Amino acid sequence: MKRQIILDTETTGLEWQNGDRLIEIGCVEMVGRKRTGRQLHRFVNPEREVPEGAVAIHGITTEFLADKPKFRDVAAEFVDFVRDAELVIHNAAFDVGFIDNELNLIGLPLLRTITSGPPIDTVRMARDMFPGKRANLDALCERFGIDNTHREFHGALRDAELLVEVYLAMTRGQESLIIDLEPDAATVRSAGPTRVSGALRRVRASDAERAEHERVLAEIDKASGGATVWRAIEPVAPA
Amino acid sequence: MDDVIIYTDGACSGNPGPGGWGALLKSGAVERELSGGERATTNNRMELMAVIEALNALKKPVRAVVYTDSQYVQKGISEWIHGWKRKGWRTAGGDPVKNVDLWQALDAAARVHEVEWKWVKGHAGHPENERVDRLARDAIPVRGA
Repeated sequence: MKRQIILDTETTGLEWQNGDRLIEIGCVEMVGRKRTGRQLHRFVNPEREVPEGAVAIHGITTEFLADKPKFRDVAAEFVDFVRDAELVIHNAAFDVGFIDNELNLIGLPLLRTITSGPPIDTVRMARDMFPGKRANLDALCERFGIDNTHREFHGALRDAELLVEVYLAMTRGQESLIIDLEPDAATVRSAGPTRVSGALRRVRASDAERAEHERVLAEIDKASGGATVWRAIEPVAPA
Repeated sequence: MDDVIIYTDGACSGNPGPGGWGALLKSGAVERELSGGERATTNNRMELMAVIEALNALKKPVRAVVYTDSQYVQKGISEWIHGWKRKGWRTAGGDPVKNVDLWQALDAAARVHEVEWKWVKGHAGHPENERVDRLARDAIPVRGA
C-alpha cells in the first residue's frame, strides 16, 4: 500500500532565497489512505530572528525557538520519516523550497532524491477541480465541510492534519461526485412519492356524469364514422 | 514595512438582526482567519467587532494596516473619535455616541499598536475583502441552530 506523508511547514518569511528559514515542520503519515497515527512535529531554531508580524500572528517567538534543535539536529529523523513516501503538500513548491534549502545547507540530498516521485500539490489539485475559486486551506475546509474552527494557531501539525482531511475529500472521486449531485433534504421531501396514510378514497362518477360521458363517446363515434375502438372494450360494467 | 496587514468585514441580515464579522491577519506567509457572530446586532457593530477582535488577536504590539470597507469604522477611528473624546463621548450635535462600548473597546485595542486605517471599496473584487466578507456572512448565526 502507498505510504504518504502530509506535510506542512512554518517559516520566518516568504523567500528562502532572501535568508528566510524553517521554524516548524509537521508531518502526518497515511498508508492506504488511512492515518497510521504516526506523526513528526518539530520546532526548529532558525538561527535568526522571527519577524515581528509573524510573531504577532502565530505567537512563535525568537526566544521560544532559541532552545529548540537546529535543522541539522532533526534532519536525520525527518529524512527517515519521509523516505520513500509520497509527499502531499499545500502549495508544494513553497515547502519543498524551504526544506531543500535546509537540506542543502547541511550537505544532505534534496527531497526528490529521498521521496517517492514528485510531491502532490493540493493547491494545484484544487485549482484544477475548482477553477477560479480560492484554494487556500481555510477555503477548502469550508468547501468540504471540514471543521477548522478550532484553528487557533497557524501550526504546522494542525495544518497538516487539516490537509489530510482536505486531500481525502478531494480524492474521494465518485463518492464526492454523488454527494455533490445529491439534492438537499427539503427537495427530496417535496419531490418524493406521496405517501398516503389509510385507505385511498374512491371517487365514483355520478349517473349524470356517466350519461354525459356516454353522450360524448357516441358523438365522437358518430363523427368518426364508427372508426373508434372503445365500444369493443367498453362493456366493463361499472362496479 | 508594515508588520501585519488586517482585513475586516461585518455583515448583518436585518438591522438589527443576526450578524457576523470576519477578519484576516496577514504577515508574509503567515495568515490567520477569525470570525464570530451575534443573534441581534447591527452592521456597524459587526464592522467594529471585526477590527476589535483582529487587533486583540495580535500577540504583541505591531505596526498594522487595517483595511475595512466601512466608512463608519475608518472615519470614526481616524477622525471622529478625537472629537467624541473631547466632548465626553458625545457627537458634534450633543447626542451620545452610538456603539460607545465598541468604540471605547476599539480605542483600547488600537492604542497598543501603530495602526494605519484604510478604506477599501467593498464587493469590488478585492480578494482579501471578498474573503473576509465570506467569513462574516458564514458567521451569521442561523435561526434555531
